[in-house]
Amino acid sequence: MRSDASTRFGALGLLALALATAPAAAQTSFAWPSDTGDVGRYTTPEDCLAAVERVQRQIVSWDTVWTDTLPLTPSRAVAPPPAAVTETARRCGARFDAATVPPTEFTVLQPLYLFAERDADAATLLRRRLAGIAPGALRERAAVLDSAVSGYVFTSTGHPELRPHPARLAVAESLLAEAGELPDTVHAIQARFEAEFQFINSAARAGDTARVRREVEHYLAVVARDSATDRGDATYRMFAARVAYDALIMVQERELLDSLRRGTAGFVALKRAAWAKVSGQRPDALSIPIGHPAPPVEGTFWFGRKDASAPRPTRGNVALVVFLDYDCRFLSNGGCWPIYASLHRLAQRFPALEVTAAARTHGYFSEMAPPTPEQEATVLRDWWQGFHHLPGALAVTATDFWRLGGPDRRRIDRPTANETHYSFGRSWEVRAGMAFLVDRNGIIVDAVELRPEQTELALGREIEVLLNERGDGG
Amino acid sequence: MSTTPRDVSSHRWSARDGGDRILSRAECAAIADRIARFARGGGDTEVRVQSWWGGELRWARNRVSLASDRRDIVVQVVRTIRGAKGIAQTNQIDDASLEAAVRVAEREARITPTTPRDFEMPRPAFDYAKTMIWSDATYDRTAPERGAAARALIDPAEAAGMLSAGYLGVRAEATSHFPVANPPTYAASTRAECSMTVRDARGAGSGWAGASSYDIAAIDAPALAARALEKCLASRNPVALEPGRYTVILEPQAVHDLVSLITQRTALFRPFAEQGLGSFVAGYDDALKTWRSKLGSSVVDERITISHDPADPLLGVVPFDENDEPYRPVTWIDHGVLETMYDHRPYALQTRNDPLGHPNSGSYRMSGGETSVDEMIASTKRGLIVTRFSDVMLLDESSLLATGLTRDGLWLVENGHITKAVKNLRFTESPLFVLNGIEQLGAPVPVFSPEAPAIVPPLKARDFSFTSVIDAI
Amino acid sequence: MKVGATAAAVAVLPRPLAPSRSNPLLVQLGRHPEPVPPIDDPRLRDLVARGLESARGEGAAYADVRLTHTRRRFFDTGTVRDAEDMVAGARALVDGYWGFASGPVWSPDEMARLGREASAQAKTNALGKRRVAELAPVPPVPDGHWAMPVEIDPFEVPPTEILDHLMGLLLFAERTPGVSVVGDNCTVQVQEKAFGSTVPSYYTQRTYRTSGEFAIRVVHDERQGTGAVDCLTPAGLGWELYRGQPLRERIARLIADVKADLELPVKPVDVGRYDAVFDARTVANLLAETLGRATELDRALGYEANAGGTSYLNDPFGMLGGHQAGAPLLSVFGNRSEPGGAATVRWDDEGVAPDDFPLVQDGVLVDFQTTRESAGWLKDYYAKRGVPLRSHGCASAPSAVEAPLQRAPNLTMTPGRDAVDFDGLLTGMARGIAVAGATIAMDFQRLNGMGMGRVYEIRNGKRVAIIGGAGLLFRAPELWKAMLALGGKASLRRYGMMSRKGEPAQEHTSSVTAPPAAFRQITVVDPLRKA
Repeated sequence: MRSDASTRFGALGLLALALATAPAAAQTSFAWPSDTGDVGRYTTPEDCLAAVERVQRQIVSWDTVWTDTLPLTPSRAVAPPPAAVTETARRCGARFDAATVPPTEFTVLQPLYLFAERDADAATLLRRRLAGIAPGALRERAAVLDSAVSGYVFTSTGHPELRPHPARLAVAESLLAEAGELPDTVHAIQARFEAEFQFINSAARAGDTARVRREVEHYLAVVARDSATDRGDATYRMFAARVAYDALIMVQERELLDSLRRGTAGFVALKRAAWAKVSGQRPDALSIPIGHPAPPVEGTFWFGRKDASAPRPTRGNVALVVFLDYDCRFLSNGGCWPIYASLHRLAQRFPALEVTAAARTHGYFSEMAPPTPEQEATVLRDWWQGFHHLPGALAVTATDFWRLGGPDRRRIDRPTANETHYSFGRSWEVRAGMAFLVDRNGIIVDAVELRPEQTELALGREIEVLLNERGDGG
Repeated sequence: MSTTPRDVSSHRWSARDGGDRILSRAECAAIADRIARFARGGGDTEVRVQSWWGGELRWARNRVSLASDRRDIVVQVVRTIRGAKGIAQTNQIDDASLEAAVRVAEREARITPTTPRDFEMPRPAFDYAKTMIWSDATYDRTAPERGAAARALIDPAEAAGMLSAGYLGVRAEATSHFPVANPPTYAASTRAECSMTVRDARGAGSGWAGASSYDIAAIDAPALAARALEKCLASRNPVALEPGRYTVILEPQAVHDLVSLITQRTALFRPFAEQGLGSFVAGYDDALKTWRSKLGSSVVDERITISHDPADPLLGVVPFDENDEPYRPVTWIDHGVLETMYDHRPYALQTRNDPLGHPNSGSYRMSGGETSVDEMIASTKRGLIVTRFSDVMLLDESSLLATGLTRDGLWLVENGHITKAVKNLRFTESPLFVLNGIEQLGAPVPVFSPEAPAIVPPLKARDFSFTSVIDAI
Repeated sequence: MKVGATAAAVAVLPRPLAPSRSNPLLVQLGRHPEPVPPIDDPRLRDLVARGLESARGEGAAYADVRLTHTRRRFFDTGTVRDAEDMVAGARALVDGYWGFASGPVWSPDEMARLGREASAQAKTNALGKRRVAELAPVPPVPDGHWAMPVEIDPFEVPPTEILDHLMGLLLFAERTPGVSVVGDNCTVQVQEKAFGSTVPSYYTQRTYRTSGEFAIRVVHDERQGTGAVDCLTPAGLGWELYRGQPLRERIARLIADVKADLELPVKPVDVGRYDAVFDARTVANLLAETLGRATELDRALGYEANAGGTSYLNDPFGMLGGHQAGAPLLSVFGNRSEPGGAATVRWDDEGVAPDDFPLVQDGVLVDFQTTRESAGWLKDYYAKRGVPLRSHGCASAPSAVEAPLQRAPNLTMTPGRDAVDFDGLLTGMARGIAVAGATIAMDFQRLNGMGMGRVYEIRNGKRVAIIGGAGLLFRAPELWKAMLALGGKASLRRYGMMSRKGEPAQEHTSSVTAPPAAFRQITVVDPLRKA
């Protein structure tokens, strides 16, 4: 029962009921004592954190369920939590005195204090925690510092909802420095990288490039020393290199955009150099396929293409090629919908941007199994262009697939031509949400996984340069 | 919500829509309608209404110990507001109670985290099989008639000086579902079951017989009474036999007790097998990077076919599952080859573009052969006859190895003749092993399986593993 | 069903579910529907009386009527669900036969119908064969009112507070690296009941039941183990089940135990007989599944023969007072009075105030679990012992929609005299096994059993290895006779347990309290090994 209409009737019905059945003083049915409860009675920091998380999720979900269709507000990353969340943390945490609680409770009290904006108490407790560590116990000191950094900028509880906002960058930076003075050998590598990574990430989200710049140098030094001592395993080194690369790109953004104004080749060279610097590999080992000519998008069915004869992306246009899929179960943070919102916003901001979406058939859509690829393509068009109002042209490839034999009958999809071409010899795996920014000469400038708060903004700055500040040729 | 639920029940249903002891289609729809009107704050409302009536009779020590007439209702309200769900259940259908249930579901939703884009999508309409699940004879069977029937069931045992205990029950149930974006469903069904245990007054022997059907007329009471008594008399003063491997002649009920481990649990669940779990996994395919099930492979003796057709008059089930997905004619195992595994629409759509999955009602027909139990006995040099198994417990999902007990009649066969009653044994065995060691098969017959009817043959199999003596009777 | 042509042509009573569908009711106590009153509203007594009169009017020698109003709230990480139901049931005894009728409507007309129907059901089964039902005497309860004393009524606690506490426990457990919580839920229930009988008695009673699950998975040194706290089993308690015990300490202890297990080597089963120490949970499970079921008198006499089975205590009259049910140190008592017990009530579903009674004393079987009818079967035995004939108050049904059956009271095993615990019982064991958390599968006479749980190899009082996949095989009487020593009073643990009985099956919850115990020569097998 969809209740758009019945909602309106609901209020009338209730009124009628209230009149008909008189005060229901004795009615016991489904009585609830209260919807909120009194968090002031809670006795453990964990219960308080649970309350903070719950209130936060309620508010966030009530207010922002549909935000991906709204304008992106990057300020959310630096905004304080909603008043109800702060109030919950204050009221619930009032009984935990930073001067007297056991210092080992720091892990759970740190987020609670930060939500309550009791930063001084968080600092006091951290100092007590550190003071309780024997002078020689450097490993323990390193572990506490690294997890404290995580707690100031992200979360040390394993629950992302308990991330403090805004991130406390200043104090985290000083703790990183304190940790940096300890010998590297006492750090657990994973914890170290996570603390650094979270710090850099948070600083970037907050737009604090000065801090990113300072820390990335420090971080690169750690990575270099780690590589030199060969202490970590290869997986961590690659992870570290990627984090460092992303950080470096953030730090060098102005320089990069300047070079992009002059031409794509220099821009690509700079990025490759950045990779070489952080990874110790050759510049062209950078796995992102930038600098390559963008292959023409192929489609069995095209929708929204004005000129059917012109290849996409079209020479002379700044273009975005984006891969879409109906089913984005593997994407975290809400599947495909944030991608749609990003595309929507980019197209609104840059009417001259040529958007080409590439998709494939799978033989099903939602609750249906369209009988032909053509019908499936039509449904996909209705879904993306009709319901989500996505911009540009849509190319749907009726996919090659084969079925497992016998009664199994499972469908095994083969890569489409587009997926093959855009994977550039599989240095890059094409998935839904991948976006390729192409300059007027048909050269790929950037390749990212489209995410509203991260890549969408950076991509926007590049598009701006390509559209407005570069006349030609480069 | 003006749609009337689809009538998906049996051919005779329309004549007796709802009766007086369970709710009719129209009554269920009216309840759902009222609930929808109580909803506040937008969002979606989903409703389920169930009602049941039962006429029951228990007896023990040759006297009825309790006769009863019972009925109840369950109304479930699901309110989804901005992706947050609240669920409340009541058995009262007055306005105040329904309104209170809606309110509480909304309060629940208010403190529940949301899953924003999880909403019910419209789907194509389903065709449901016409199934035989309603019997006026069952619904109309009166308490005095049930009492008289019990007397007829008890008398032979009492006359023989034995103690009879049993259960005779008739039941009617109406279930309806009012989803958010799809057509409502309604089905009314009846069920009759009778089972009895006859024991020797000193506890030296025990025999059992049981039957179930939607139609009480299909239950042959005198035959049940005779069989339970006969088994009791023949099972007295059993001797202990060493545990070990025996050729077994399994009566249909015993076969069902084992085969239901395949048909009524997760063994046939396709998504599990395709994640490498359970007993029908062939292995991991490195090239395809996926688990392969044993679909298409021979898994049991080629004489075995296990299938279900909801339109089979003897195997009627409510023709849809709890998600309103239709049960379809299906062959799980075809001449020994694993032909179909069960799953649901989303999985079927995504993995093989099948617009319908294969939900499993648990009801099934197993193919048989032409050998009578007497012939099986006559051709057996040394073996055991099993009436049924009790307390069957799965020990290992990957092999379906299970343990359990024989109960109510176990006999030794030597040189083609039943020679003595045997003390009960604990077994440790897999139904797959049994179905691969079949020597002979008999004619399939309906067995006692009130929740999901089944038609199963007796069979003779080799090397059945009994692991300890259970001297309980 | 093919029966002879003997079926009497008596019309059943096809009555609507509610007196009027066009005007569905709330509760009808008088002439008009009205909101549901509290259970102790005197007008409910009239409703009950209406059912009793009606049953009596149709010839019932005895009748009882129950109204139950049950509320349940279920909490799982982040979500809460509510359920509520109101039912009425009438039971009548006519010429030695029982009839029962029940439904979801509380109204005078419906009560009259239920009373009539119950008598009619009883009468239709007499048909010339005599059945005698002698009910043990019971003092009338003129006007009893009782509410189970709970410290924190869970329905008075804001649901958010319970949700936060469950999540808080999860956050607490997951502070330990490698620990993830896989089950974290809680169910609370309150049932209000009005009962009346032709004794005459009338009472109202409110009972609570709270239970929960807290289960973890631990990854430790690349091995993985699971476990769950065993202190949240169903209890006759309110929210204090969670707040009234050091739950965080128990969780920390659980994590330590799972880790300790993961550090032990795993050995294959070496089939044989071993001296053994069972933890309190295993002993409680054994008690519940063997003597707990075998001492149900109706079961012992064949009343459950077609359902769960019979009893190895198969000759109650011959065995009582003389049968050696276990070692002399085995004493088992039944009660429905202990605070917090899952089967604790003030009055049972026949209006009997249950007593505390011994089932096994110093190893000897001295009594059975009884109702008013089944107590009567033991009249001679009680007379011989010089004790008054009475029911132990074990009649119980989950709600008024089900007819009462004889169900287990709370069982308690008398602890040993010495202040020794599980580890203490292990001390001095040179070679043997210890068993923790075993689940028990018994046969249909509760005679032969198999147990499966965590089995440790013990050397010189210490756990040195886990025996992977080991099972226990035993006969109940021999097992209890092989009991060597019991843990002391401080080692007693109480567990709430679910059981099923009857046709159609009814669920029942009761508590079992037991200490850890040492046993001689227990058979260990590999349950997965075929013959």
